[in-house]
Amino acid sequence: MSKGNLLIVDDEPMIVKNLKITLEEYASEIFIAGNGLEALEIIKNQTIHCVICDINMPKMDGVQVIKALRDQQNDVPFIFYTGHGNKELMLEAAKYGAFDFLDKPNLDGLEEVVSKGLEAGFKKRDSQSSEDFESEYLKLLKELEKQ
Amino acid sequence: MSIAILLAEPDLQLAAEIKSKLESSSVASEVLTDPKNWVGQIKNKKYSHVILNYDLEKEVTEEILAKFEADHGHPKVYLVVSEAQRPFVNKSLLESASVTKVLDFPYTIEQVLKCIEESPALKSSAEQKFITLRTLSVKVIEEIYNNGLNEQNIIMAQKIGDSISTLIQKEKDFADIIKNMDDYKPLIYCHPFLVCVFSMMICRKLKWDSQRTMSSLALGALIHDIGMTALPLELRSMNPSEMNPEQFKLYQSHPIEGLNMTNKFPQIPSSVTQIILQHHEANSKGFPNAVSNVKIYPLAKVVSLSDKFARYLLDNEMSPFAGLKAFLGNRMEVLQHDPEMIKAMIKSFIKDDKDSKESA
Repeated sequence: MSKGNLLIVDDEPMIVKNLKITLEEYASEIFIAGNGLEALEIIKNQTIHCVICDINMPKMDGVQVIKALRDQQNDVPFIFYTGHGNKELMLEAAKYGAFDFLDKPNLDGLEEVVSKGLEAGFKKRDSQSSEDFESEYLKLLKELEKQ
Repeated sequence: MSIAILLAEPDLQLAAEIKSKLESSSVASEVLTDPKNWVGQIKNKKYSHVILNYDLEKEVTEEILAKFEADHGHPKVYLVVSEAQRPFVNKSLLESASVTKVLDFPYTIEQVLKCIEESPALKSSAEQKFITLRTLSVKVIEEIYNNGLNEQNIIMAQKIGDSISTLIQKEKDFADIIKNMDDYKPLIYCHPFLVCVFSMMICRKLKWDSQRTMSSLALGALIHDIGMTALPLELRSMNPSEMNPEQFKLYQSHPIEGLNMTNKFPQIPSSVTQIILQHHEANSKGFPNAVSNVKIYPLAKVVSLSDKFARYLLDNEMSPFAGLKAFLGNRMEVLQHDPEMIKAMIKSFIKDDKDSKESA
C-alpha cells in the first residue's frame, strides 16, 4: 500500500537533509521546497498527502503558504515546526488548520506525527461513507451493550 | 489485602461496642481512641476502610484525611460528623481526600456494617494507582486554579499527565478500571482528570500514543479550562446552559484567556496551547473562532469530545460506563464529533481480547 507523498518546506539545507533521512521510510516519495513559493508550485503539480513546514522562511513564510492553500480549498494536513519565540506566528498559522506542531529543537515523535499526517491526507481523499460509519457505529454499540 | 478497618472514635464505650460487633462478624478492626498518638499507632499499616469521627481534634482529623490516600492503601474513608459540626467541615479537604461518605453522628454499628457491605471489592494495584493519580490531579488543578500557573505546578501537571499515560498504556484492562469505578463521584476539580483520562483512552485506540503526543495531550487536557480562572467567580461553577447572554459571552472568552495565560510560559508546547484555544470549536459552530472542522487541531478535537462526555457525567451524576451509553444515545451530540474519534472512544470502553493478548 502506498504510504503517501510528503513535502518538506524549509530554507535550511542541513535540516532538510536530516528530515529526509529520518522520514524516508514513512513516505512513498519526499519532495523538497526551499521556500513557500516553491512549495505552492510543487503542490500544484504533484499529489501531496502531507506537508511539514518551517514557519520562518524568506520570500513566503509558513503562514502565507497555508493561507494560500486553504484559499484554494486545499485541505492537505500541515505540520509546523519552529523554535521557541515564534508562538504568535504559530498561532496565526494554526488559524488555517494545523495538523500538528513540533517545537524545535525537540523533534520527538516526528515520525509518528508525519505518519498520522500522511494517513489523514489519504483519508481526506478516500473518506469513509456515512453508511459505512453508521454500520460500524451500530456494531460497536451492540458490543458495548454486551459489556 | 483483606478487609481491615480503622475506627478513629474517641468515645471508648462506642468504640468497644463496634469493635466487638465487627469481630463477631470476623472483620479485623483497630480502634484509635487517643488522637495524640495516632501517627505512631498506624504507621506502615494498610486499611480497607476508615471510619473517622470528626469529634477528634479537628487538626488531627484533617491530618489523618490528608495522609490516608497516599500512605495507607487507599481505603474507603467515612467521616462521621455531627449536625453542629457540618458547617465547619473543610469541603475541599473532603474532596481531595476522596471521602467516600459523610455519616451523621450519632452513628450505629448497622451503618458501619452497611458501609463495608457496600464496598466489598478491594482494589487492584492498578486501581489504587488510578485513585492516587486522581487525587494528585485534583490537588494540582486546585493549586493551579487558586494560585495560577507557575513553573512548579506546570512541571507537576506534566509529571502527573505522564504517569496517567503510563498507566493507560501499560494496563491491558484499563476499561475494567473505569468500569469498576463504582465510587465515582463527579467533582469539580475531578473534571480535568477525567478529560485527561478519556482523551488518552481515545488516542491510545487511535494509536496516537507516542510519548510526545500523550505528554502534550495530558497537559492540554489537565489545564484546558485554565482560562476560566480569569472569569468572575460566579461563572466558574455555573452550567453554561443557565447563563444569560452576557454571561455566556464572557464564558466564551475562556479559551482565549487560557491561551494568553499559557503563552507566557515557553516550556508549554504549541500543541498544548492549541488544545486550550480550540477545545470548544465544533465545525464552524463552536467558539471562540467558529473555525471549520479542517482547521481544528486533532488533539483539540479529542479533548473537545472528552470534555463534553465528562461534562455530561457531571451534569447527570453518572458513572463513566453507564454514562457512555446514555451519551451516545444523543445522536445530535455524536454527529458533532469526528467519527473516528467517536469509534475510538467506544472501542476504548470495550474489553478487547486482541488488546489483552498483545500486551500480555
